[in-house]
Amino acid sequence: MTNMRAEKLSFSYASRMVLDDINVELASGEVLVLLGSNGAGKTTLLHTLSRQLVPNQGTVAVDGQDLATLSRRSIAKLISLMPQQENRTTPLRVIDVVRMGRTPHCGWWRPLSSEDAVVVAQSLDAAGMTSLSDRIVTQLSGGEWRRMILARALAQSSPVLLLDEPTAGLDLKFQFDVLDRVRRMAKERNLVVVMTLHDLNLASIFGDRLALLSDHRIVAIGRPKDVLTPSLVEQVFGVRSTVIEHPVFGTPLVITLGASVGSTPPTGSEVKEQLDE
Amino acid sequence: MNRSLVVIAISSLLLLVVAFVSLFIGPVWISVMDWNSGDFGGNLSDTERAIVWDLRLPRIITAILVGGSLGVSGVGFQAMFRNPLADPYVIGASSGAALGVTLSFVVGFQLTFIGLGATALAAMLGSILAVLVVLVIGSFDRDSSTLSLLLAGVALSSMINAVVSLLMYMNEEKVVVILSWLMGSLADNDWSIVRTTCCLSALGLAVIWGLSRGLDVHSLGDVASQSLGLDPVRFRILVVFGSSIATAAAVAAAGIVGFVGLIAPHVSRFLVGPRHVVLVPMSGLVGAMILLVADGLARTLVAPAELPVGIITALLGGPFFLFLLRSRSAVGGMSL
Repeated sequence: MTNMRAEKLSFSYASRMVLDDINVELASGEVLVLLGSNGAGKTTLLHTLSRQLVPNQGTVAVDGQDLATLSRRSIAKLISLMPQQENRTTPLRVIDVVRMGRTPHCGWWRPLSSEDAVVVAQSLDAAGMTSLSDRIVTQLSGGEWRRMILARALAQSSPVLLLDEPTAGLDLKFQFDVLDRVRRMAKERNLVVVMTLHDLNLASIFGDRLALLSDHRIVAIGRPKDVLTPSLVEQVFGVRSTVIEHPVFGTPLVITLGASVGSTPPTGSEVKEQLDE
Repeated sequence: MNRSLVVIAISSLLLLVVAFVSLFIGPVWISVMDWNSGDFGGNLSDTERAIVWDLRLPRIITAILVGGSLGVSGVGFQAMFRNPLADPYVIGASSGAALGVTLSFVVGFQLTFIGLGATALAAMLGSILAVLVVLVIGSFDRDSSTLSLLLAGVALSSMINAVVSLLMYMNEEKVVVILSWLMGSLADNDWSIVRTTCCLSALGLAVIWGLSRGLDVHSLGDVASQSLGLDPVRFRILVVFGSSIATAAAVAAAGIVGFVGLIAPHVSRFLVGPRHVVLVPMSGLVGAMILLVADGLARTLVAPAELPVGIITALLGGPFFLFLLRSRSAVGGMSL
């Protein structure tokens, strides 16, 4: 069982404060979704958690090991980060890119072993990319590319998986496909998963807990039904909303009603009545 | 992978054949028949044997080593900067070497060390010092990004070039010697230079080839490569070290030979694809081939005189590079 803990984390770019006093603790099998408006610091928090960025204060520890004391390679064995974007112009094959996931285990010199090959094959399979493994990366669609990066992150075999906007720019079908795979992986492999999303309702369906970031801090963290309230949504995103229960999943369903201008949003039951009509 | 190995094997054979043929061409043409009918040149006259063994063979081996070093170094810098226009001289190695050589001519150094004469030594030291200064300036940046290294290289090169121009302006009588060196030449290389170049080239190749997996990972971008365990600062220093050693070896033996380090990686990507484990040796082979052919032309086109080999590589390399650019796949992995 893995445990990840961030304590009193703060980070600033020069004099601009981005994160202040962030505290969060995660257990294996759990999916935490970071939500917040543009520039709230979601990506910065992910990068600070993976020590791509060195925090000004505070610590991040996985299973009690402070990341500040570990080498970059040791961190990569514990945490894999699926970036929002990366260079896609090198015409490598999909399998070559997924094999790179084994770099922290092989180092720069050792050739991939048969065990590494098994892990790579399993990761391709889990991400639904086996049939595309010989495809050139530059020929992949956006959804296929995300799944390839997911396969590479899985090939790292790290207990913590951080995903930055895994659904950005994807069609609805692929959004569900990618998030469903991530959630399944988290449960099956007992991974700690932290991801950033923009869509509150996808977050509500796929996240065990949600964290709302605003003014450099986590203003709320907890189960979707405790966090996705009209007042918190208005405070963090500046939009009026009403929240009803998702008719299929039973999760909170946020219906936005426009930018905040002071008027009182209708209650969930009022909206439901209108929808029924 | 198998296809790449076949291409590398064929290219190696081709290089050996071209190297063998090069032994017999030059201001004095030597018949291959004389060579073949004897026991390793037994039928050659003493003069011919001296030309082959003491002049052409070391020169040909040096051409292969210098071209190979430039090719390998070019791959290293292009990968590190993720920039298809990077070449072995991109972070100031050429201007550093130029300053070293100019100073050695102006001041009149008479040093020799590990088989290198004063000029070669000054060139090597100059290029290494310039790269070190760029590394130090680049490290002022908090993240020591590749871009700040590149900019530091450009800025330092401009400054050093100005100093070189000033020195040449103030020492008019030495301009011709300095210029001829700056244009690159493989003449006057003997076995001692072969030995030194061989050691340095092998070290550069070993470092860059050994970093192949890291170079592949680095091509994904900083965030992805760090996430895969690559320490960006340490990695950059290693690449700069390997590439600069290879460049310094080339500069010491042949002066500044342009275009080889720029073109060889692109031709190689076209032939074996973007994976560095095959790209690095292939680029070395292509660089060696280009310089070998260019040097063959340099010593035959206006025989008995010689053209600086840098002029040939630039003259032929420019149009060839433009031709390559017409095909996007040729610069695959390095979008312009």
